Amino acid sequence: MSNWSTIAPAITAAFLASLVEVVEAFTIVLAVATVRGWRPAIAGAASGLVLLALIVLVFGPAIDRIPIGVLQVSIGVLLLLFGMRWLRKAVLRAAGVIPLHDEEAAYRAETTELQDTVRRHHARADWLAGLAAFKAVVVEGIEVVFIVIAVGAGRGLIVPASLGAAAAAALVLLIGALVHRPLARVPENALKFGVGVMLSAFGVFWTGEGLGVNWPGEDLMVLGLVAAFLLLGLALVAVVRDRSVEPAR
Amino acid sequence: MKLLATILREIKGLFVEDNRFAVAIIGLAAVVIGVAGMGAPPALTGILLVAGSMGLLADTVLRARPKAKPPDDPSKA
Repeated sequence: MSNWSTIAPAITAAFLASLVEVVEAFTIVLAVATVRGWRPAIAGAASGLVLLALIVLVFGPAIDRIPIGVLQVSIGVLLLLFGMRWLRKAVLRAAGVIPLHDEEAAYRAETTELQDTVRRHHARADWLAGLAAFKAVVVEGIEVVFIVIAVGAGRGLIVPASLGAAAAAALVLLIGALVHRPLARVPENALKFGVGVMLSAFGVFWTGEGLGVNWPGEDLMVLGLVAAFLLLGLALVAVVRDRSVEPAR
Repeated sequence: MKLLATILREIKGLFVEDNRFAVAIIGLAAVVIGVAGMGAPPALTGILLVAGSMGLLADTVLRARPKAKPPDDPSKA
């Protein structure tokens, strides 16, 4: 039986991780709208959403047929790969080892590429622009679908996780509709750091659950693991940042 | 076809960025599953999983940090 110690982190993880992905998709759809207008942008994005819905409808029920232990271990290992990848990158970005992701720069690059494509293929410009929006929505959307399955499937939390993801999409669309600009002020690295911490904690928890580990405190152990990964991540940022600035002393 | 290849590449990119790190995580999972399968106490499996994943994260981050420049040797001045 799930309680709020697992439901709340699942909703939060799905919301924050989806926020990052939806912002990235929104940047490309906005670039398409800027270059060719809203019609191909909306058509492409809507087609992408339809394809995503079909993928979920076709593959979603298959999850119920997988034995819970196998599902927990598989999802746990995938979460470890996914969460620790994000956490590693966020730590290195926070420590200044690799540059921060720049949504404005991504928008400019996408706009320039689209303008170039439109010049070269003028007759098919709307189609190609719509395809770019479609691709962005499908690619980022599949990541959102995975995130929802990963944080939700281990203990029947698909619905709360879906609600978290849907809330992220609604928030990005609402803010995007108001500002009509790439959402460059979203603190992407802080989000990735937080999501990396939560997904890594879920990864360890689900893998252990699937292998029969009796976690102390049961579901509350998720919060303990979140705290442990958070402290480790912050300590690594401090250590690596110190080393990065050492030569300048 | 190109779209499918892009989607597959993106899905792989979801999990794998640093090949060595990804292989190490899968290796840890294999060891933990093996240990649990051999009937080890669940507490040992849990400790191995927590310590292993945290150790791998620390190792990959510390490996990626820039090397500190050795201090200038005053005798060479």
